[in-house]
Amino acid sequence: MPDDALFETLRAALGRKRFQKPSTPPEPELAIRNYWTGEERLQQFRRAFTGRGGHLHVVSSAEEARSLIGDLQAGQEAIAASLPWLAECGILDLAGVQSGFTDAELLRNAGRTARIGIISCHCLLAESGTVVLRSSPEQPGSIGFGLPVTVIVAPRRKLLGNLDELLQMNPRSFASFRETVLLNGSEGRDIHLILI
Amino acid sequence: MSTPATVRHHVLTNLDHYLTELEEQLTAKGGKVVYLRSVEEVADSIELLAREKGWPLPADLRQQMERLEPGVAEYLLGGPREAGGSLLLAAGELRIASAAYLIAEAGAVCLIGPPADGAGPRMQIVVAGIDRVLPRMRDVAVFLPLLAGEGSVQFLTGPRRAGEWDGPEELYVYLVDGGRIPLLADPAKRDVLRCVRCGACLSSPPDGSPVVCPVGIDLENIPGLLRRELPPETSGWKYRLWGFVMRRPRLYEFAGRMLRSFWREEWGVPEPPAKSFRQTWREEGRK
Repeated sequence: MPDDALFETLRAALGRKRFQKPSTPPEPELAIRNYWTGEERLQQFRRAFTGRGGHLHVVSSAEEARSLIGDLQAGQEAIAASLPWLAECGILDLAGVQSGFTDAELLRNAGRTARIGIISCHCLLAESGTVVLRSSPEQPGSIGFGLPVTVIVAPRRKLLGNLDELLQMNPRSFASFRETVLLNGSEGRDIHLILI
Repeated sequence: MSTPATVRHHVLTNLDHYLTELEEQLTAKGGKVVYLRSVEEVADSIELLAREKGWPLPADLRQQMERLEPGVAEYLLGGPREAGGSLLLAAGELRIASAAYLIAEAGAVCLIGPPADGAGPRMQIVVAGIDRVLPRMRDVAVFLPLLAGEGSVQFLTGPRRAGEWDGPEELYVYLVDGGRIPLLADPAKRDVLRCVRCGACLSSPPDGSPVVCPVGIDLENIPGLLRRELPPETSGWKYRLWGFVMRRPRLYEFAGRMLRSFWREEWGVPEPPAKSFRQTWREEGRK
């Protein structure tokens, strides 16, 4: 059906004119949990995330995070997203961790031998135990969801109350990224979240 | 402050505006929006795209499409939306998914279900009824809890961008009328399109009190109003043949045996059991 014909029929059905602006849409009532303390958010997140099969490791330093990743690697190869946060934590310099791929073919080849993908996240939602991931050239989906084990490394300050809080903070940011994934639990994958 | 009901009412009364905004936003980021009259047209269009690429498609694509994004009649008869409604075809090159919501302001498509593995498909087709639009991203906070349950959620705003190595090279959004416009024309029936297929109306409260629809559909009166207008389906040659066979037990049994012998998956109807009820009854009776 040509679009013009469909829109003509639609406008006639609604009794509207071409280019007629709507009234302001009703404002959604957001449930902001800003009264939760950091510890309450963490407990809430732990309950929801681990309840859905995710593994949560809370560590106090980047050094502990590196050591934990070494244990998870158990001598096997890993590939990591080229993110400043992971570099800051020294994760990109770990033995057996490859990153900084300059083209898709190099990444594909590395992915054939690697067992672990190391990434970071945009934020975490305590209420639902959700990890919010965003696609970018530095963090392709092949690292996040292409390997048997996914390790997500994030600072504790990324822990928000819920989706309402995220949408209140910056709703337009969703439009800036090609893909945003709200990962609720492990979805049958082996996912380790290291919170520093 | 709004409720899901007031947002849905606002969207439906201004649907042309929000569809235009959605299309502008999606196409600005490289997505392609296609308006189609029916699920049949969706299947035709997918077959055409797949033929151009040389991708094989399953014989029962049309039945699968109907399950992914039903028309209005199926809304009235069907159950809640299935989470993760998507098809992966042509050895993973093509993914067809049903949108939970479309967000006009962000030009985003909201899918429920696990994200694609690895680099994902080369072509992503998203199918949605024209009524699935929400005005802004903030509205998702109110509407997502109605559908998502514990499943993961994806928001897509376009195909692969410059510098990205994965994600679909092409993103098509098929917006299907499927009989919705005539409903919109009638204010008494328009509200049925507020339905987001959350399935709340299918569960009865234990105390027998009336079910409250989260989007404010008048569950007492609207279904009756619509069903009264459905054409009676008790005439025509199919029903006369059915009646003829039903009145002849041996012929009925023979027809059942034929159906079980010749049933094919591509018919899109459930596989009949290995034995008829009569056979089982006779065998059980002998024991």
